[in-house]
Parts: sequence; structure tokens; C-alpha cells
Amino acid sequence: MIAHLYVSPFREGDVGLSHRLLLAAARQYADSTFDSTIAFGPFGKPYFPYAPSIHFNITHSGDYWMCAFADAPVGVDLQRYQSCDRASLSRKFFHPAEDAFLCQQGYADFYELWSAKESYLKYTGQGITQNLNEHSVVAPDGRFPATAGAVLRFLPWVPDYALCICTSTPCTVCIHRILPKP
Amino acid sequence: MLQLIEDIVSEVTGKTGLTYDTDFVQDLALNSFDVMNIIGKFEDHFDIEIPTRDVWQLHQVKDVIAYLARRGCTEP
Repeated sequence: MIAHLYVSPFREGDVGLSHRLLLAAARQYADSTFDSTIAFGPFGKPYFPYAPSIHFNITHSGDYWMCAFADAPVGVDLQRYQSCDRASLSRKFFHPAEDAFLCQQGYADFYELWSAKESYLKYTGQGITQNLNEHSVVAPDGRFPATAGAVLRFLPWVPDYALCICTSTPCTVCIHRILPKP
Repeated sequence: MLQLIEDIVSEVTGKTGLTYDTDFVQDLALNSFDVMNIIGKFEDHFDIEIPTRDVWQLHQVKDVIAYLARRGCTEP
């Protein structure tokens, strides 16, 4: 399986930027003539109803926008490190196994765990619509990231960002840079 | 309540200038982590638990105000 990850600078306040970038990326990934009408799944995950073989998932954080494309369901999440009470958020929102994992290592992998968890939830299409503590990306034997029925893979990115992609099988990731157009 | 919400959103994201119609995702470009970080602050401030399944019904500032009112949360 090959996933293609399109990356762009992200400017907050640019209305419609994410949609324009999605269409630009989709036209590079697929042919330029496909019907790019967008619909939304039951939990809000967008898809192309007239091009069902094109699976995609968008993420943005900090200075970057990304969209992963593949020929099977894919989830991706980028998260910039930022100031927060890691212990409190972990206790509130993470699965007990995840909270224990983070606690014993001083919450060093907090953002990596968040990006792994969200990439999985975006892969399933469920998104963050159910309580986050009902699923764990830490295996009972302590492996991280790990989850049943999907493959989680961290990708290297610039410092102070966590980036994770989730697919059904191990995948090769090709990264493409695109620039926003007015 | 609008000022309290703005204070919390500003503390977490640095964003200001909220109105009742401000949409957290469309207008403020918040991502899921930002939203959950803000929810955590609301929970601490009002000493309540906000189920994640409720969070995604709260699109605009006025939705949050109405939700908190239903939960019996008032400004001190």
C-alpha cells in the first residue's frame, strides 16, 4: 500500500484555504477531471461520493496543512507541541492504559500519543465523536503505538510536531509539497 | 459568560475577538487538540465532566453558552 501525503504551509484566517488545498492535492493525486463533490460520513469524515476509490484525510496544526491520499481508508494527524497541562488532559481524556503509559515516562510522548490516537479515530471515520478513553493506542503489553486492526506509523517531521498515519496494512508514504493559490 | 469563554480560548490558543456567532473550527481554525484542551479548562472551571460526544455538537460560542446553561453552570 502506498499513501501520498500532500503538505502545504497553513495560514490561519484564509477562508476556504483547506478546501482549495484539498482540491489541488486531489487533482495531483488523481486525474484532474474527477468529480470532486464532497460529502460527509455519519461522523463528519469528508469523502468524494463520485470517486469512492479515492480515500483522503486532512489535518492541520501550527504552520502546516496536510492531506493523505490512498486507495484504502487512511487517517493522518499532525499536532504541534504547545503549552498545556499534559497530566490533566491525559487523566481526563485518555484510556487508563494510555494514561499509565504516559505517567510512567513523564508524559514525554504526550503529543505522539495524541496524534496516534486521532489518526486511528480518523482512519475509522469515527473521529472524536465518542469518549476518547474508550480506545487505546497502547497495547496491553505496553507496545506503543499499537492498536488492533490497523497500523500506526509515526513519520518524521520538523521539530516540535508529532505526525502519525494510520492505515489497514503497512504502507509506504510519499510526501509531496504543494503551495496554496489565491 | 462570553468574556469567560474568550478568556479560556485566549489562554489556550491566543485567539481573541470572539462573538456569540464565532465558530470554533470555521472562524478560529481550531483543531481537535485545541478543542479538547479548551474543554478541559471548562471542566476544571465549572467542576463538571463534558462527554466527548457532547463536544461535537458545540460549533459556535452561543452553543457553548446554551450547553453550559443546561448543565447549570453560571458565572461566579
